Amino acid sequence: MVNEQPVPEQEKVAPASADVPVDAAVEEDGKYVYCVIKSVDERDFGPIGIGEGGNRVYTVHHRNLAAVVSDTPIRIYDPTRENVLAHELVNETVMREHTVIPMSFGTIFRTRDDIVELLKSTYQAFDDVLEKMRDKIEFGLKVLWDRDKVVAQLEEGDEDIGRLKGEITGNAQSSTYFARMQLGRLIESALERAANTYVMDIHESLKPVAVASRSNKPIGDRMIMNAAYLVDRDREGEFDEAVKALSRKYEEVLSFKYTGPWPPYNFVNIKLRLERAE
Amino acid sequence: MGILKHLLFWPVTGPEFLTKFAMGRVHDVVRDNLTDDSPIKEELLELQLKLEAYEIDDEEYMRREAELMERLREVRRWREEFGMGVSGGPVRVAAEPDEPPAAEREPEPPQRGGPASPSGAEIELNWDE
Repeated sequence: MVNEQPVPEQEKVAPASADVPVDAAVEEDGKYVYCVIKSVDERDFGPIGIGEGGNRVYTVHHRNLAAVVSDTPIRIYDPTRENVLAHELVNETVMREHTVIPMSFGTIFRTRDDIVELLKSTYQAFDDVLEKMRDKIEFGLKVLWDRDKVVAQLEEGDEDIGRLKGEITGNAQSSTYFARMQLGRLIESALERAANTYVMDIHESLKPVAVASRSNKPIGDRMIMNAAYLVDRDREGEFDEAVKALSRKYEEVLSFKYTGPWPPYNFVNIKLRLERAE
Repeated sequence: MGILKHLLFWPVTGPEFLTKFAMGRVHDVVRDNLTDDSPIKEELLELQLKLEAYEIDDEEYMRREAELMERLREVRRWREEFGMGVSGGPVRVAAEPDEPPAAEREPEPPQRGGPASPSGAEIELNWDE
């Protein structure tokens, strides 16, 4: 499966969205860190780094840990689609061969030594987490519904709603104001129940084939579910099948946006102690 | 001011106290509004969803993304102004000489992005089950 993300035409970037160098006059060189992996061998992942010019992506080592980095001016990278896709592309490339602990978008270190120092001081934690995440991948599942269709189903299936609806249509002018109000309220609460039922059913079907899950806030008014699942690599096929079965089951009213495999963005949180400004 | 003094001199101190209290609240609300980037990030996600659903074209996406980036930078500037942690950029707040020692300051939100110091990291696993 591939990530369903068409790459926008980069040449259309408006000048206003250009990244902001910290100091436009003196751009120091730093290292953008994408993720941490286990590897003793030095690796070169090619010229796929973030920023203009496609910098080489390579590894910085401490014992059997390695940070995957590319050189960059020290700057703030705006989370534009272009930049976020560049960050994700590197992680996707690396995770084909390694278990990765992804860094947050935009993380930049000043020097190679700083990175080695981080790996050294957090060695045990990285090592443990890499072990826990070994051969586990993340999938994203966003579920959107067709509200009108669900409402139509409710009007057919729900006795109270059907009756009120009938009253209102049979009574075109008078006395319908309160009936309409009541109908609206009934529909709203029936919709909420319906959404919960869908989400529960989907979640219960996927839980047995996943290691863990996270539910994020739905985006926009059509989304009823925005979740991430952590899945064992060797159960990827099963998970895939489960999602497909659900999407067939609900194809009338729900659409599934299924993405991945991702590195475990939603399941590992690295809190860096960043430098206070000078 | 102690509660007893407040009661004794309320006719004198009350109005000033209330004004200060109200202004403080207004200040907090304004500050929260200026420094919260989560609504902007939500809009960004929504915009990306629209692009993926072909509801908007690349051109419109780029235009609106640029606006959102400008708003994110604005929030970043305010966060720096208020000495708060910023995400996605180096921290540039000058350490004020009269700044209270770190222990007395409110804990800062985790900072992300920008040049990172080697003083280490915490790694958390977020598992629901």
